[in-house]
Amino acid sequence: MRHIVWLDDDYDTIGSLVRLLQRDGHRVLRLRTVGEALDHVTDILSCDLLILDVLLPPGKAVMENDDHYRGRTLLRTFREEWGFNRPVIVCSIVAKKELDAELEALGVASILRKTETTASRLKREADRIWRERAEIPERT
Amino acid sequence: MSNVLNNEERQFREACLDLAVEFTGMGLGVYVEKTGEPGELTITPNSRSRFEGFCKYMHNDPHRKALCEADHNCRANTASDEGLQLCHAGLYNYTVCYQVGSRKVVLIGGQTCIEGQEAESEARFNEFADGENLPADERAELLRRLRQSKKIRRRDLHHRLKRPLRNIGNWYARYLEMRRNFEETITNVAHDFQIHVTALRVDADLLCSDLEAPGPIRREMREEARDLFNKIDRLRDVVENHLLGYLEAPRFEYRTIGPIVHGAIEAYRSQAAEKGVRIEVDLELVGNRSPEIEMAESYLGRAMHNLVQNAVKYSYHGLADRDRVVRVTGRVEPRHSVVGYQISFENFGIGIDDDERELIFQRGYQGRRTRDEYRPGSGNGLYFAREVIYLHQGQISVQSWDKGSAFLTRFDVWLPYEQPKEQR
Repeated sequence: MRHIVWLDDDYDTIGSLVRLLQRDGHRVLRLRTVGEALDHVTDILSCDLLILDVLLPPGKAVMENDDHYRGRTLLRTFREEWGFNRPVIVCSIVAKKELDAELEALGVASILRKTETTASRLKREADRIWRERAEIPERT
Repeated sequence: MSNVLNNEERQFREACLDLAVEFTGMGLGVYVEKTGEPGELTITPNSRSRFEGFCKYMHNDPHRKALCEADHNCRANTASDEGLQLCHAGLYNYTVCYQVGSRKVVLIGGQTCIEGQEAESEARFNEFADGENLPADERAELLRRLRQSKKIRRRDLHHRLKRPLRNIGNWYARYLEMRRNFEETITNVAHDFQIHVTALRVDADLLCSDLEAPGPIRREMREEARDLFNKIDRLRDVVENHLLGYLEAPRFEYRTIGPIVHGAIEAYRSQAAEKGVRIEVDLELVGNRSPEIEMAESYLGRAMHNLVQNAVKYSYHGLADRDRVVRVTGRVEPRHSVVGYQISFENFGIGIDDDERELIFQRGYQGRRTRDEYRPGSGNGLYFAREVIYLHQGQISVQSWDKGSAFLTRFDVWLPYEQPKEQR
């Protein structure tokens, strides 16, 4: 079993994307706003995979230099200020080359377009990442 | 889509400008700048044909033409109010500014001299001529043309320039505002569609994969099929609440309210039964009949659907029997001496915090207590319902009380029997 955090306000609609991962026995914690993410920092820092949308509502969080891509800004904070080193899949409707380049620079392992992603594709990506990151063992 | 809208806006902008040119008889430009993007100055051929001889002569030289355009752009960019401005070469322009959302619009033009202020014009011209090292013959020709330019008396400024520019500017700003709302609606609907279709695709893919695998039909396949059905329903909500609500014009007629409410209830009775929730209805009759209300039936019907659906979907299914109920009651109720009918929708389940009682009627807002299976909407149903109630000159409010195991939430809708004459 692995711990996955999915940060996305659309998850109610596209919740089925993680169904195959759940069937494999992985635990998925669903968060939908920046505020909720900040309430669950410990869960995020210790997770085995973060699935993230770049478009996020702020929730109760007040962000400095608030911008359109709050997910990207939040990831930068996790990486640069909190030493977050866990693998990340970005799954978003946004398709912009410059943004993709920024996300890759932040060490995002995979960028998926929501409109083209299926549950099996997401599972394949997650399995591939865990295979390549042998330091993330299965939990019991 | 954006290109189509941009072309349409450009055409409308040019038409407005030409109209302003006709009204004033002077050359005008319109400058539009969107936050974070460079501004764009539009001058139509019709407008150029009204330029003063001075300006025409200046524009014969590409370098001086570029200077004129840069000066126009710079003054429009820095203008924040309406008033007279002296151009870099000595003619006066009038500017009118508007802020529409993230767009700044400046109508600028009327190359003219102001009576009594010729000295200022010539001083500015001399600065320009010195800076450009104009040859003596050109300098003399330009000065001659400047002095021949149209002169306006200060007291004529109002009706010659201010009023027509303001009127045309108001018109254009109103158009931009309408277009902004339209764009916002299209963007929201497109996003909703994209997400819902993505969700359908994910669920259909899961179900297909499961069905292709050997073996009997399993529980999760039934869940996937049910998910697909629910998501199709939600996509239908997007179409009905956004697109149809936006496109159909309301038509007001007297209709009995009873069948409208009962129609909405019947549509959700089976969904309620699946959750073990019963729906109780008690609509007060007037002289043994359901009262007649002047309404736009298709609009009000959809609003009633949204309110019943809301009550059903946010009802808890694990409650004691007495609380697994949605109550719909109707009472004749005059308000401020206007005869009307109040319909209340009550349910036990997800509550609404006090500070959200206004927010939940905003487009796209979803209550903060809603989660997982109790968060299945697009956040547009209540927005649409309130718009419809307001369209009927009615009122809508919500209250929520913590009853321990669940919140009792009640939406009150009040509708007047009659609509004002202009509504018919």
